[in-house]
Amino acid sequence: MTLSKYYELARTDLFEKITYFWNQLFGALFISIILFIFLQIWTTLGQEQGLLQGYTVPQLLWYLAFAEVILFSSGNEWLEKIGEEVRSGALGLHLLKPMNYVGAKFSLHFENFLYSFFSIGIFAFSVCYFLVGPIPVSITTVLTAFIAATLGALLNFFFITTLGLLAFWLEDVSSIWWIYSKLLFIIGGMLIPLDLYPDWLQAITNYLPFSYIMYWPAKILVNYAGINILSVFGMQLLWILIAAFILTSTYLAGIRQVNMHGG
Amino acid sequence: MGVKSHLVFLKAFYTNELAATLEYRFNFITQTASMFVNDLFWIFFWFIFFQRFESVGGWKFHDMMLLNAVFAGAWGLSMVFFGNWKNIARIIEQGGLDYFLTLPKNVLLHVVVKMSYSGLGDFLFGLTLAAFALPLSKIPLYLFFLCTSLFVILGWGIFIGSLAFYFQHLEAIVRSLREGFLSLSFYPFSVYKGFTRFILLVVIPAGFAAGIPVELLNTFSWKWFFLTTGFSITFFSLAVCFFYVGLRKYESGNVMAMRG
Repeated sequence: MTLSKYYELARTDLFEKITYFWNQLFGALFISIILFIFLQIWTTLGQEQGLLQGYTVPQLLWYLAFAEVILFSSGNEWLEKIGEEVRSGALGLHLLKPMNYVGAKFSLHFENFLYSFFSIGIFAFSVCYFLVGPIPVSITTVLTAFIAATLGALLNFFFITTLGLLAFWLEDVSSIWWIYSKLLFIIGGMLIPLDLYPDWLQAITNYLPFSYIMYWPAKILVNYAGINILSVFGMQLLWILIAAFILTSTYLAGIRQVNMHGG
Repeated sequence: MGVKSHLVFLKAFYTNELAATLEYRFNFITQTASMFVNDLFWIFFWFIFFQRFESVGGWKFHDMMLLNAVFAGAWGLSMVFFGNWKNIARIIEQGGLDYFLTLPKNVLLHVVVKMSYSGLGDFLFGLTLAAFALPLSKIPLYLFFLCTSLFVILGWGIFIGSLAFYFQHLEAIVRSLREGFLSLSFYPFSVYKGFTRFILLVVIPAGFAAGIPVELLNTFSWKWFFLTTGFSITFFSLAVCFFYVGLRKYESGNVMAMRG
């Protein structure tokens, strides 16, 4: 099976996205609002309490900006789209094409991640720079954080695709999306670093995969010291393998339920 | 159409919508329960946040409970009874107003009226939180603020949706403005000071949707009570006028559409 068709699929989608570049960028305006809100919160807390668990206000804002960019680039709305494709029967039509459904979704997802990460990232990081200025980071740190973000996005892809495919059994997956997104926001440490949580909750999050999608990549960027990078990458890869296995099993079980008629 | 005929229309509409909803009972219960759990996550977030930081600009966990009680409740009400307010821009952009223009007036009411049952989870969550966070004597005031907040939310939705009469390809921007309004309302209002606070009261009235009602539920002031009431009604009325002024610029999309 050749991979070129997946490349072509991603390329076509990329050109379509570039056509609506400004539309997407305006859509990312939301990030600047969130950054603005948290700047107010952290500044108020900083004035009242000084250093926040070892973080400065600029570090916390850059953390949030990086985590938001990962979230916006991860195409989480795909969960509902995949659910709709399953529910409406569009997935059945896809099965007729000489292309693996999950493989096609993967190529589109990865292309979307790279494109959105850089386009939305430039916007979000510029807003962050404008609001609090730069923080000291090296090129190595930025590259390491990007690799961690890419692995996080991969892990997220396996989760959202699996959850979307649950539409084979459930009537509506939008409610699953609400809960999953809140898990990412809170247990995944998107809004605030997990270091700021009580110890008992930090201990729980260490055993869950959500922190490897946003928390660790963003923490690497702003507070690299003391992090065992190999351990983070190792855990990300381990969760990717587990999630890939769950996705494969769900997909194979799901397509057995597909009944197609001619016409 | 007079007020009475509007009420007759709404009663008939909601009766039909409810009957249709109950046809998909499992879906209805799942979505309502999931939204309730979704909101619980937010309260859990604020609970752990205030475990680490005692207060933010004077606001404590109890204030966040009140904020969620008012805003989630009003947001839920808006979705349960006027669930299409989020889709105004899309309907205008796609030329979908043609269908509504053929109906007996009022056009805007026909456009926005829709039952979105996920909102019921928000509404019930708001009521539950209020029952926990407020003494019984303050519940009437809370219910009053649900209404003023509803006016502000609907007013904002109508205003940003009507921008589609004037600009094209606006859906992504409108979504950002809507989510932005939601976020600005959903965080402690005490962190906004000076000019920012002014903007959030007058330009993007997120403060009147939740922050000011919470402060009034804590410490009542007649001045701010009348300001909140007057602003919410005026803002809503202006948004409705903005829609009808924009409607004059509307061009048919020649689209076959059904209500949905």
